[in-house]
Amino acid sequence: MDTVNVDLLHFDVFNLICTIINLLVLYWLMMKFLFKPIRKVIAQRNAEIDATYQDIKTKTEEAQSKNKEADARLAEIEQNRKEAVRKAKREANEVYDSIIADAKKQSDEILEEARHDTKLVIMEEKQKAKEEISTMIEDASLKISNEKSDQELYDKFLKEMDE
Amino acid sequence: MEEFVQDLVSQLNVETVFTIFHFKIFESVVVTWIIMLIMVLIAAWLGHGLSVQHPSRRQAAAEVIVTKLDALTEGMLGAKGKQYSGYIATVLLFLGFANLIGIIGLKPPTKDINVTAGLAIMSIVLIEAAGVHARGVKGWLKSFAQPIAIVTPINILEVFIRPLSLCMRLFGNVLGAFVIMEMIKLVCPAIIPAIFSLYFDIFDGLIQAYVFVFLTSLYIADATE
Repeated sequence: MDTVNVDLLHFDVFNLICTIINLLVLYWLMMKFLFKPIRKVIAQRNAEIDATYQDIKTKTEEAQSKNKEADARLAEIEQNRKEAVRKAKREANEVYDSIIADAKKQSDEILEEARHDTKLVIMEEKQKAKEEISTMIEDASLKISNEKSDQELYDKFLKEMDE
Repeated sequence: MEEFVQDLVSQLNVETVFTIFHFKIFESVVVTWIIMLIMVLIAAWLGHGLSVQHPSRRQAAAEVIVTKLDALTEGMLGAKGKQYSGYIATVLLFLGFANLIGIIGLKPPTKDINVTAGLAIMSIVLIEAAGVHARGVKGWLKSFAQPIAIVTPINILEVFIRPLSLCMRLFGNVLGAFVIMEMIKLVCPAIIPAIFSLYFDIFDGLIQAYVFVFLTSLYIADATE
């Protein structure tokens, strides 16, 4: 059988360099077309997600602080309201008391006046009565001068009137 | 029998496709170009029209591929070697395609020792460059005398042994698988080659691609530690 010459370990520098250049070009193209853009997109998405989470955290904190602020303001308003009600009550009481006092004073004055007026009227009436009675007495005395038998009777009557 | 041997030899030989200025272009390089074209077209298709907020299905698939590849390579490279994950992933994909291309009838470029040697040289350059980058020139030189000074010659030898073993392992495995597959095809052209192809082309091809990048990553992780 003939010997078969197979040159399996044939090194060829040109083809070896070609392979190295091929690899470098392939690496460059793969990085340019696949790895870099995909990694960039993933990194961008992760950054966006992180930013969103950060944003949510900040907004939650903001909302919580605003809530607290609002609670504090509410409490303050409630306090003010109570204070105002208390003040209004106190003022109303004062006004009430003063009105009552005025009214009492006025009513006292009216009463006093009324009493005074009544007294005057009574005195006037008494005076009138006196005058009328004296007139009557005069009239009667005129009649009595005509009828002497009843003299004693009239005297007695006048005494009683004076009393 | 004579015919069989001649046929096998013709299959094993790395043929020259064309010549430029007396430089012979081997078919392995041409097949590499075909693989590069396929890979770049797929990459460009996957990587175009990306959207941050409304990813398409294609983009979702591309993101899964890139994320998984990055997780795989970064896991092997360690924290300090992360930056080389792009190259490692590219080599993994290239070797995967190269070792599987036998399925569609082309000769795998990794069957040519020039291709595996080129890959191994790239690997050792990257390993040593990563070492220099991580430790500085002084630290890199000192690392040869670690853990003890007496192993310095062995460490220096390793600079040559590592790429040689990388190169020969890949070349031997792919060539062996190729020879066995050719023999099976010559003996029985139907059905049986398909079954064996599952192991020799797909399983072994992918395993060798993984082993190559795994060892390269391991050496980089070791150099940058």
